[in-house]
Amino acid sequence: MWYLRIRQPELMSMPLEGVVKLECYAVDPSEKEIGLDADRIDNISRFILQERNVTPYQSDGRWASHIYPIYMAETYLKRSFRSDTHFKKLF
Amino acid sequence: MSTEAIGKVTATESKPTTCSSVRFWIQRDAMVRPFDIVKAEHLQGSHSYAIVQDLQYVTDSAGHLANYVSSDFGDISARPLNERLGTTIAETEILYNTREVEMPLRDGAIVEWADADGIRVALGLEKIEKPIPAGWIETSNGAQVRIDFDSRYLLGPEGAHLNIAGISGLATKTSYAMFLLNSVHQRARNDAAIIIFNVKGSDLLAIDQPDPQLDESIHADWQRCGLDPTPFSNVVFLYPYAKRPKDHYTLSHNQADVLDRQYSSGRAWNYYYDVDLCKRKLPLLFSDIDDPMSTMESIFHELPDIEADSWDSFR
Repeated sequence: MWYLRIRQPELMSMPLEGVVKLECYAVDPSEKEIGLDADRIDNISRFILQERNVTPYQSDGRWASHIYPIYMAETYLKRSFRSDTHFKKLF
Repeated sequence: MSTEAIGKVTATESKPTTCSSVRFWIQRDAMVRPFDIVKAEHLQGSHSYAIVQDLQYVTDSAGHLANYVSSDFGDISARPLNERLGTTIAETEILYNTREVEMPLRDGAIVEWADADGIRVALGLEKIEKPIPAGWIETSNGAQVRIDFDSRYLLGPEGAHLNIAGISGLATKTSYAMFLLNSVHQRARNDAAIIIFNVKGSDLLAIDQPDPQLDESIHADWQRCGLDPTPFSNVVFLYPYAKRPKDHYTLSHNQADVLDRQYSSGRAWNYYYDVDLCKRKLPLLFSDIDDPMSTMESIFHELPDIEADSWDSFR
C-alpha cells in the first residue's frame, strides 16, 4: 500500500486533497517477504498519475482524489441502483 | 454512395423532438456537415428526411472551469490519458416523410444517410413539371444530387424572381447567374428571351464564345446537371453610339478584334438616344417625383416647342 499525490498541493484547499491510496496484493513469496518491486510501484504510480486528467471537477466532491474512469464506472453503476425510497420499502 | 446508419435520434426532457425538428447523436467516425440530408425510421414503416442545420459536441463536463482544471489547472501541454465522455449532436429540420407522418420522431430511431433519389423526393424535385437545372449538391456520404428550379417560379407566371446571395468581389454570383441563364437558354429557349445589362466590362461581351479553359471536371459538372457546356447562341450585342469610327462608332472599350468579329458577323449593333423620341419620354424619368408647384410639368409642356436636332442644341 502506498500513497500518491496526483494534484499540485499549492492548488488544493487541504493538505490531503489530491492524494490517493493505492493497494496491491503481494502474490509471489518474494513479494510477501521483501515487498513489491520498486519499478512496478513506479509503473503503477505513473499510470495513475496520468489518469489525473480529465477530472470530475464540479460533478463529484471527491474530484481531487478521484480518477475519471472510476468516476464513470461509479456513475454507470449508480444509475442501475434502486432508489432510497424503493430500498426502504423492502423492509 | 452508402446508406449506412450514422446515429440515433435523441429526445430528452429539455430538448424533445418536434414535428419540425429532431436531434441525433452521431457515430464517432461519421463525418457530417451542415446541409447534409439524412433519413430516420419512423412510424408505420415510414422514413423522415431531415437537413442538418447545426452540429454540437457535448461532454459530461460540468462547465468550462471543469475543463480548465482537467488540463492540470491551465497547462496547455497536459494530455489526458482518457478522453472525457462526449458525442456530437446534430440538429436537423424535418423536410419530408414518406407516408406523410407528422408525429415527432421517437427516441432511439436509427438515422442513416439519405440516398440521391430519396433526397430528390424529399426536396420535392421529382414533382417539378418544368425543371430548370440549377446545379448539384454533394453530401458528405458522396451522394450527388441534381438540383432543379421550377420554371413556373423562375420564369413565371408564378414568381419570376431569383435572389442570389454571396460575397462581393469574387464573381461567384455573376458566374452562377450566367450558368443559370445558360441553363434557361438550353431548357426553355422558346419560352424565355434573355436581356443582360452589361456592367462587367468585357467579360459578358464574349458569352457567345466557347471557353477554352473548361477542363474535364467542369465538363463533368455541367453534364451532371444534364446540360452541355456550350456558349450562348443567337446572341446580339447592342453598344452605345459614340463618335469613334475606329471602334465601330461605339462607346465600348471592348477589344478591337472582338468588336470586329461581332460586327462582321452581324451580331453587334449600335443604339442611340434620339432627341425627338427622348423629348416625348423625358417625363417618364420624373414620374415618381413630387411636383407640387407643377414646375416640371410646365417644363414638359414646353419640350415639344423646343426645336433641336442634336443633344448639343437641346442643351
